[in-house]
Amino acid sequence: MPFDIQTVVSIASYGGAGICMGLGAVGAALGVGYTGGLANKALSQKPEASGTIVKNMLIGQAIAESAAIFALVIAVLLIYLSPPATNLLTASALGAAGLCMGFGAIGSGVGSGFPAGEVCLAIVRQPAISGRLTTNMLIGSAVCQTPAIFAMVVALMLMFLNVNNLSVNPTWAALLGAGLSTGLAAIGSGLGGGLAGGASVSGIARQPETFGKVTTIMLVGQAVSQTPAIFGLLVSFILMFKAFPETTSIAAPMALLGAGISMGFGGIGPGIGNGFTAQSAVKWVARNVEASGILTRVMLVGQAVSQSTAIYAMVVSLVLIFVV
Amino acid sequence: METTNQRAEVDRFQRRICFWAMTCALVLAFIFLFFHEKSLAKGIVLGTCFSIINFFLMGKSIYMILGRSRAKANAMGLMSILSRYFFLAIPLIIGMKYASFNFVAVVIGIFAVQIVILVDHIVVRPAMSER
Amino acid sequence: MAIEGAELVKAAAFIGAGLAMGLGAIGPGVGEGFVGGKACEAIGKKPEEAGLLTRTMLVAQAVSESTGIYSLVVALLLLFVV
Repeated sequence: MPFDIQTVVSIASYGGAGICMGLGAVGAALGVGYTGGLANKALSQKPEASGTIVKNMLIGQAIAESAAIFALVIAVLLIYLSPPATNLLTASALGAAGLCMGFGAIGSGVGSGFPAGEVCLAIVRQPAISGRLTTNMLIGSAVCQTPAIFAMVVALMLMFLNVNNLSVNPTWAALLGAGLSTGLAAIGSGLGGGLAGGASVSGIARQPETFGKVTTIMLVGQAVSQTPAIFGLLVSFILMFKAFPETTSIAAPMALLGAGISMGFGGIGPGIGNGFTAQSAVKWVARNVEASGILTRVMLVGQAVSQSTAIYAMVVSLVLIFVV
Repeated sequence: METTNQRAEVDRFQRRICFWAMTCALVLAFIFLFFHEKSLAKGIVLGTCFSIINFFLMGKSIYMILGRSRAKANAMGLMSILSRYFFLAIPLIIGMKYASFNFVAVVIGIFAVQIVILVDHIVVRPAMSER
Repeated sequence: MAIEGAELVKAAAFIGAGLAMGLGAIGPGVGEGFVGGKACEAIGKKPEEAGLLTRTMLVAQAVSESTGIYSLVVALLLLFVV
């Protein structure tokens, strides 16, 4: 059965759209479900505050859902874009865009569910400062969306990259690797940012007067948790924009694919780990505000050490790209 | 239990967010029309309309599900999710198919409710409470 | 395009290096972060023991780092020796 190029491109774009929306819905569903579960718990403890709790649940769910809406936008683009294909690179780029956005939306969706759920319980504890709690939850959830936005940027670049003059053989793997690198690395960063945000909301409910310090350390912790996603973005950019010479061997494309896989999977663990560290640090700054200086320092040291594996992964992928 | 009061609070909040989202979209649309960017204006209003419908259905579906049996609640929750994503896909497909709607403007319009919520709670509310 | 045996071995070694480092980084990353979190918790409870706790945290993280270093070594072996 003969395949022409247009058929293969259609297969890749429809398959990519399916993967993108399917995986993208997983994260948002988990996050929104977690929010709804904690909102139910809060409602059973304090039915008379149901208006405020449902209001905050809706706000949190609207933000957590935006990761899935990013995936929806990319999926619709993949289905209806149908670019004029001259070589098989277009197929690889469209498939990679779908993978990138699909994986990238998982972490952000789950992560922004944590602060949104905690805020429902926090309102039961401190109904008087519900406005402040909502503000803090929104800051935390919005920062959680950053990895999904990175993934969307890479997906859009992959879709609109001009691939006409590039060499087919190693570049197909480079584009696929670029998608996997950012998409997978974004999972860990999204989850990690969410853990820090959730701890911050429940910490402020415990000690409302620590609002400023807790928000600051939450933002620092979330920013460090984003680093693996930024490493992933860096490797993706190198893979997308470096010109690779044409070759007939199978080793060169596998090296580029391996670079993407290494950075992608390597970013998951450090992202989640940084999130754990930030979660505990935020929690204990809220309980023991005099120790906030030493806690911030220890948190940064701990996060830097757990970052090291992401740096090893980046070194291996750079070696795979440039040396081999 | 004064559920009607509590429900009115949620409704009021939803109406306020939807009102501001629509107002901002219309103001932006008029600015674009002033510069003869008709497709941008149409796109942003289309996206915002569907964003508001999505947010409105999200709030309504909670009260429709409350008090039903478990099987019924599961079915209705699934229906609400499916219908909302279906609704959100409509403006995107329109934006792709017809050149008179700018696709980027539609995408920005789809996030209107989220943007208004963020601006409302992070910028406007703290500034108001400080005064 | 005929694929020779040596080519195939090299291709497998490259993708194996990527997988080794990528999957090998998940465990140490989560584990070290967990240790860091527990250390922060302990310092929050007893800020006067911060020096001792920080040292202990670093030792524990170094131990859990070792699996990450093993996967780095395996990845580099696959890249340059095989």
